Amino acid sequence: MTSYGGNVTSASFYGCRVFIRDDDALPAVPAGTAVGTSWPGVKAHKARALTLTPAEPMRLQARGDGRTYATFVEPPTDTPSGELRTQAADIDLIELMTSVKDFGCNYRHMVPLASDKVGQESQVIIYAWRKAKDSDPNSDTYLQDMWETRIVLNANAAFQPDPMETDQLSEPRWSLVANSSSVDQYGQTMTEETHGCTEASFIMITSRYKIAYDVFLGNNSETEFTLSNGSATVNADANNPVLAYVDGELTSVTCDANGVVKFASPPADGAKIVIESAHTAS
Amino acid sequence: MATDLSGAIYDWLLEADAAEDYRDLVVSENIKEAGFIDIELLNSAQTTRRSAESSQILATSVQDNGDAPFPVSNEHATVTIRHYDRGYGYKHLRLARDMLREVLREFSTTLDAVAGRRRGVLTLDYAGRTGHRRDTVTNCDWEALTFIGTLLVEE
Repeated sequence: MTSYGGNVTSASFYGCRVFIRDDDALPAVPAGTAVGTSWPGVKAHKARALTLTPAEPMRLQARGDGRTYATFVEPPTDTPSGELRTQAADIDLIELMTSVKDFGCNYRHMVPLASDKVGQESQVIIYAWRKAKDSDPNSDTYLQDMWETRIVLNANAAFQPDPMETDQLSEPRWSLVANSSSVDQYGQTMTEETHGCTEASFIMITSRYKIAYDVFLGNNSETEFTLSNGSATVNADANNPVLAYVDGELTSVTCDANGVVKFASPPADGAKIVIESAHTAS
Repeated sequence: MATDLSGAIYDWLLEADAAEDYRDLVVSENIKEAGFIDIELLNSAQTTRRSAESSQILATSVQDNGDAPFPVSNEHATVTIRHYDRGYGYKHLRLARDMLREVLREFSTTLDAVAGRRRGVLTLDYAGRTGHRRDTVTNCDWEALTFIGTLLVEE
């Protein structure tokens, strides 16, 4: 009897958040974000789907006995590609992902497209989640709710606006190329010992609750960091811990009922803090 | 516990904490399985509401609309929920409609096993509504909302 299934079946897409990938391979925190204030990324509103198509392994074929057979199967040489579809022309998301700026005013938002930034966009980190059921009949939690999350660690994203045709559902799309990353979402270098590989383009997660990432900067004095899901954070479940990584190093923390994470000593000035937590927010 | 989606929704609307706001919109929590709404029940509910002068609807019925196989080992089950009211046109039906759709976003349950196979509700999706209808036999206004659930069936 397993305690919890790693075997899930999913149906519906729930949501997606996007970060710019910084030089340290971790999410970039926008300039001006106050210390202690979470940067949870930009939510892709009305996201419909995140699809990823891993490349095929390469087969080396030979002929013999009048038929074709594979002599070797080698790792894929192509990069996985994919697509993020939304139902909203989301100016905040376009700004973030294409590095252009909203130069409108008041209630008027405007961003340039097909600019000289096309093809020069910053790399992004995307994580998307959807509801699932534990589908392992031997699990203690068979048929109970679970969540499936995918993290694209190092993607190029090119924006394709909705063509605005009559009778067509508004569906802006982002064409993705999921490049390999040698660093995981926490900032840890991937190793054979821990990850079983040294680079990957995306991470698959199954979990009891929805997973969220909050990114902070340290200033060598602040020890308390408030998570974006606040009191909806699962804070007292040993099976669903709050994990804090400071510059890629797992660091012990406590989390109270309001989603305030406390460090025993303040993270260093400029340290990148990535906190993974489970939550029940809708 | 129920063995099908309509039974599960019926139980959930009557019992779940997340459905409390919806139950508050139905006189005397008159949520019934289809076939149990009749003129006497509507008359009684109307009398009850008259003294309270609330914006409740008179009754709700939950109808099983069958299911169909869905690849690979799943099923699509359809459920129709009807709201009944008198004397207020579509006014109270509109409130109940919106509240029903809101609370069912939180719907989640596991069904009882059938022939040894357990089932879980993967998703419950809104699939449309009739809009305002009027029945002259029972002298009531009604609207039906349809939901389709995807069931995960044990292999």
